[in-house]
Amino acid sequence: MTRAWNETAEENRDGATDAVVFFQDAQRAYSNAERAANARFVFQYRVADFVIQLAFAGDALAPRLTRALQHLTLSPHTIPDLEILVWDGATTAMNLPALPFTGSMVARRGDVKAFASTRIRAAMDRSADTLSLLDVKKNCGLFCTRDARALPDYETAAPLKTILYWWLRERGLFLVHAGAVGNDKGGVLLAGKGGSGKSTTALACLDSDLNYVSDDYCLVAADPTPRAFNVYNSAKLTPTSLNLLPQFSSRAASSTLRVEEKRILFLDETFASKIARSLSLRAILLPRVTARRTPRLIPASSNAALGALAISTMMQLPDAGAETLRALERLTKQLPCYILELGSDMTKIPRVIQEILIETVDH
Amino acid sequence: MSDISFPPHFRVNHPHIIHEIIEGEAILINLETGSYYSTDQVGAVVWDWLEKGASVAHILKHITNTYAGDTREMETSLRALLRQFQDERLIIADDSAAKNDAAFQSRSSSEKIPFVAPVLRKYTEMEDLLLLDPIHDVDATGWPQRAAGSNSP
Repeated sequence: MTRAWNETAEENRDGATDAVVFFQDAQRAYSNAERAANARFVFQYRVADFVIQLAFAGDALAPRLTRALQHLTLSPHTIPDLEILVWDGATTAMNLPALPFTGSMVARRGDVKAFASTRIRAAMDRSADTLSLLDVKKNCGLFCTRDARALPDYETAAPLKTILYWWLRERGLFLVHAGAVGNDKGGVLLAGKGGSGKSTTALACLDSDLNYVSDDYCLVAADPTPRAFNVYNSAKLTPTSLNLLPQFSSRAASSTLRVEEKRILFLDETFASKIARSLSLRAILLPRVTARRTPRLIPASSNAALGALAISTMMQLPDAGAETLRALERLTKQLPCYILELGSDMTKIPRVIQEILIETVDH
Repeated sequence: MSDISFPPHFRVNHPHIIHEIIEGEAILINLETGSYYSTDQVGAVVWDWLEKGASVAHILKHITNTYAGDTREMETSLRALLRQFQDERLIIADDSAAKNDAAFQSRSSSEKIPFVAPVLRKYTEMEDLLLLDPIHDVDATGWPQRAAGSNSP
């Protein structure tokens, strides 16, 4: 049954209270799902400096949503900073929250316009058929989908990113659409839209002394100094990337997970020691695929970096707006920015990055 | 572009504007005002060439080479779009730059795309830029019918 959004008691006249009531309804749906599945599976992960707990009603979604976080696993024994309750309808007697969105509007990236609440965040991914909710005050997130079996592989590669983005930004950490690699001197952020060469650059560094933080999504902090934090152990390879990096071909061929034409790899299987939890950022690189043979760096403006970083990030993350833009503006203004013209010789990429790290440390 | 009052060259109003072309749509943000803009198809092509430094005359040549339609309408539409860009301070006239249009290759296409006059849309919030149609088709629980989605975020 669908409850109209404004069919409210007097005390629920403002949107915030309505949103809280809806969140509580959804929490009850989770509890019912847990009873229907007769099973609860709990996992804890350390993301940046925070303990994030995932609690699953039943076992349908856990394999799909924990794989990319596996390298951050903690033994569940501490009180989590954030708990996310996860379930699907198909395996839990369709215990899904009734949505009060009829007649309201949902943005392409998932924003639910009817929610004006500062306490409750809500987003719906209509392609993935998922609902994400966060009670900022209670540090509790809810994630549900109609059928775990229909969940797109992009959720396996980068699970729960909407809830993580909402919760972590309150703590000065912003999930961004960017890669990051580096060494003990620091790291570089790799910014740009899909297809710009972020993954190719990040994966080309695995055969060097540079460590991997991400190829697609990572956390960044602008204050007190620029820093990048790892979240996922997944990487995505396009056919073009595979041509340039044939050493990944056999691993890619055995992967059954895809995002569009990209194959998903889990780097903790073979490169666990190369995954860095965080890096102090020294520069921002904007990869570009070119016809050159050897890569080179060309100075770029901080606004070119801001455009590359902010727009592709904000197009994907519900409720991303001025606050995220300003944080990323602070980040980009603190760092030298370069266009990284990629060449066909991938073995030269790590050297270019190592040199810029030495140069920025010396300065 | 024979109107002598119309500037022959423009440039993106850096550092106040950030921009990106995503899936054929130019997304523009004015950092001074906080306004968001989008323009797709022809508008995104115009923005891309402006950003790369092409002159107005060369952009028009590229449009007439690429799209099928009335040349006069294309010129009028381009002029109107540039005026909008200017009014919103997204671009400014650039009298100083020495333009080298030879760097921009535009050949007449044998299979031209029908011309659709470009539109610049303005929003004050990012989510307004990304609004979908209202959800009407819902199941018994109020969940919308699943969108015909792709396996991409």
